[in-house]
Amino acid sequence: MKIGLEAHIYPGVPSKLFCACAVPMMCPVCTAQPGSKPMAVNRKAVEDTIKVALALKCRVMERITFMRKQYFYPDLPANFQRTSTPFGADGGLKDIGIKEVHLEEDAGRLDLKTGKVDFGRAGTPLIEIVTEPCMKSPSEATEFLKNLSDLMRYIGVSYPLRFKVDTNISLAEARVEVKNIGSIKGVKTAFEYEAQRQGKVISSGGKVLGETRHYDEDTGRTFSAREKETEDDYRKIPDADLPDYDISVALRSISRKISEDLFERRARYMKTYTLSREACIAVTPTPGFAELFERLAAKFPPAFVGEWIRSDLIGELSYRGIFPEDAKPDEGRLESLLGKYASGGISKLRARIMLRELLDKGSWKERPADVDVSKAVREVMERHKDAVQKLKRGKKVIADFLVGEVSQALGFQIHPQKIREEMEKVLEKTVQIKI
Amino acid sequence: MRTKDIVSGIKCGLLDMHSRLEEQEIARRRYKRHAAFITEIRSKPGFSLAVKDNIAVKGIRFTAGSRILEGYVAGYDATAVERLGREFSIVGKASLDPFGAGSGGDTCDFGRTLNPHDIGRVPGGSSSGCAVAIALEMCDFALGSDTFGSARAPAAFCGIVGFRPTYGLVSRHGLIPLCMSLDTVAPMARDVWGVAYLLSHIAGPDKHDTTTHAGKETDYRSGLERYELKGKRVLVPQNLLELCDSGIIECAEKGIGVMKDMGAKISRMRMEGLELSTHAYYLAMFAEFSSDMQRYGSPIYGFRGPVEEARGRLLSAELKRRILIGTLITMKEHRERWYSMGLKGIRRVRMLMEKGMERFDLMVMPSMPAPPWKHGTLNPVDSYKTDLLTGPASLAGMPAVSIPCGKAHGLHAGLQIIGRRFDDLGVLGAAHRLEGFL
Amino acid sequence: MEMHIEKLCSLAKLQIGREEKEALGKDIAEILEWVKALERIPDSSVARRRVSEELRADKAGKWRD
Repeated sequence: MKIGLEAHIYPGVPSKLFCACAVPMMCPVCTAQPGSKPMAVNRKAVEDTIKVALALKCRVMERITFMRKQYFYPDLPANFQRTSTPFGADGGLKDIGIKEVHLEEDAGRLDLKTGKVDFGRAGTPLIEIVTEPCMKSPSEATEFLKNLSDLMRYIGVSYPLRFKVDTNISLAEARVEVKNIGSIKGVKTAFEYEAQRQGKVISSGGKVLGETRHYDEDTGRTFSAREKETEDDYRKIPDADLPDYDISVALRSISRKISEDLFERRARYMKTYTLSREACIAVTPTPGFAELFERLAAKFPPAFVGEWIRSDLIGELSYRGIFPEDAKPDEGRLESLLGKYASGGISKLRARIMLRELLDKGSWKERPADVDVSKAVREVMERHKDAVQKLKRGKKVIADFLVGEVSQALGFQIHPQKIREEMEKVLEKTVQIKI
Repeated sequence: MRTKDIVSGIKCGLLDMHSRLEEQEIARRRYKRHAAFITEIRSKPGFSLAVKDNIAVKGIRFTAGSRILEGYVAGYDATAVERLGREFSIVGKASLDPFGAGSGGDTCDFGRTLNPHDIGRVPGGSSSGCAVAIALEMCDFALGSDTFGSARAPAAFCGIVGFRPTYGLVSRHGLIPLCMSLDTVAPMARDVWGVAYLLSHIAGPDKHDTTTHAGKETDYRSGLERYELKGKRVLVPQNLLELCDSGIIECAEKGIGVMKDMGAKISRMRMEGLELSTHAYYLAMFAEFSSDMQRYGSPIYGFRGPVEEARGRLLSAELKRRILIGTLITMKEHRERWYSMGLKGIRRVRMLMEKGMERFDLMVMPSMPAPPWKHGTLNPVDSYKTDLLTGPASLAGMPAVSIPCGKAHGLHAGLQIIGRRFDDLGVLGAAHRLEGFL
Repeated sequence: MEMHIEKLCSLAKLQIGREEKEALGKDIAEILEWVKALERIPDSSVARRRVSEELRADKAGKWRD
């Protein structure tokens, strides 16, 4: 079995790639109105792509050009997609080879059932990461995505990770593409389905067709995509409305500020501090947080600190909608708490209560509180009435989708856990259901 | 009446704006059969302006002269339109060859545009409606476009002034592209002063068009008067001149003679290779055109059936030819052979023009090699060949103007003046000096 | 040279009848024959740059914040 992935990451960037719109706004540029021209490329998107290329240990290019990848599809406003030449090539994430990293603009969203296209998303920057087709099992693929997710957070490009995955999986000669999978769970399910499907074809003496298939989240199956042309020849030309971009200066400046590689750091912690694997993962969401851990581990037994962070601190932070990357702790008070706890002077329960008091007294920086989560939840539920119906009938996986929608509507400022709770509250008013 | 006098007359109340606008509305009715306009707009107070229907005007039907955009209305103003502002009153969207694809100017899907002085002949394209409207005094100003001669050809054939600015001087945001590397928004008027007046409003960098950039601040209005032809070094590409009709050569030589009398130093040189500018353009640049045409037929424009059905039915033959050639040359298997060949030709022409202009201030030649032809008498290749003289400046991104220069066989002829990149004021200044004497 | 008008129309999404296809095929063949004059330009050793790039005054693109 050979598996390759094309992961499309949405970086946390305030406006679209070639216009000043913030999703879901639209303008003549991102809807490709006749006569409209792209604006200069979004700086942060370029910088984030450079960060990704470096983090994936690629050979980074000095210059990039935006090309037009031409094909016809209802979700493409101009029937071409602007996509950059590679920012980086020939890298790797642990032992998975990375073929290339580039930047492109997203298309709109075609609803295959209603035939309607929503262009709110069109023009959003996407960082595309293409792996070598070297993965040999679905679990290798999901492992890769989990690592990629951690890495994207660690370098500050995308958290929570928003992405789409196009994949190719072949048991036999023929290359089968499965497109547009939106979650790690989906990848696992899609692959397992495909492996089974292709296996059946082969064992019954048939030949697997090389084709493009779509993944259906509701049923967990893949189906043949009639509409999309698998044109190998995209007849790419440079987009003459845009200049080439010299990224060498940005590259040098970003390279200088780069922290220790995530996986090397985790390996170092496992060795030096004898932390469990789970604790290593828990203390390395971001470089800043990891450095906090190291400071505390210098004063208290590291394994103890690591475990406490994993089991207590992270949970209490996320409950309050505080991301570790925003952490600005009163380290003195934290040390005092840990001191009492580590020496056995207070119980686990008491330590937890003290931690909560410490956090609630506002010594940690929180995301802006002026966001009306409840309102956003109700709006999303209004927009997706049929999905809510499915949820009420017990299809719990729909909750992920709705939470994602609310998260996007709130500009990814609020932790999904908080959204989930808000949603429970709203649903509780209508029917008893726990998500 | 000189545009300058119209503008200053209206500004200081000596000329009644409303009666002028009324007269021009009467002219539009009288000359309706000339099909200069696709959409007419009620006149508001202001200097009357025609806008070529490949330039976006918010809230107004925007067709590019093609049935495929018949029902479409622009949702925004082109930057150039925005910059002209309230001083101007847009009286209509002027007709054009569909999407700018044409040199004759008479193939608009909504009506055949006629030459103002001989209705059996073409008005010149693709900014035909603009030129006809100005020539017949339906309006005083026009915003056309020039990619490979689209403003200079109709200016020459209708006896008015059309100017192609330096590429990058004026924002293209809102201009439907024919060829994004060569397109310009082109001011047109009855005289050079009118053109300079328009340019003074619209020139300058725009964040909506990354191909624009800050040139130095130029005063196109007063700078015009100060220009002297005395001592200027003028180049005449003799090999191109010799390819023209005899009547055209006669007109051009008269113009060159006047320049000489004014003290310009004329040099004649053979610039072999310039004559391939049409071959190179009509091969390579369709790649850009077919790319920009990909979007039409899509659901956004209201089409509910398959994309290929709408495109097949509503795109004109010339559009299909260009799209197909553009598609062909960008295919993997044909790129090396055809696309590269075209790009090579373009590079060659550009080098010749740049080298040529190193030692000269201006280049002069006719705008068109022959007088306006009769409707429907040229096949595609023959009509491409008529861009022989306007092509080189386009490929080099240089500013170029066409001013009326007498008549050849009783039909209007234009003289073309070309300058170095960003010497737009030099080109207009020379033209301004000359126009009174031709 | 071989130029399959069918394939071109399919790639360019133009649904056209047989007669029109033949006529267009002829026109295009004529145009391509005409442009062959470009073959007499010698290949130059000048590095290949794109048309658009050469016309730009600001060679290094600027970002947008």
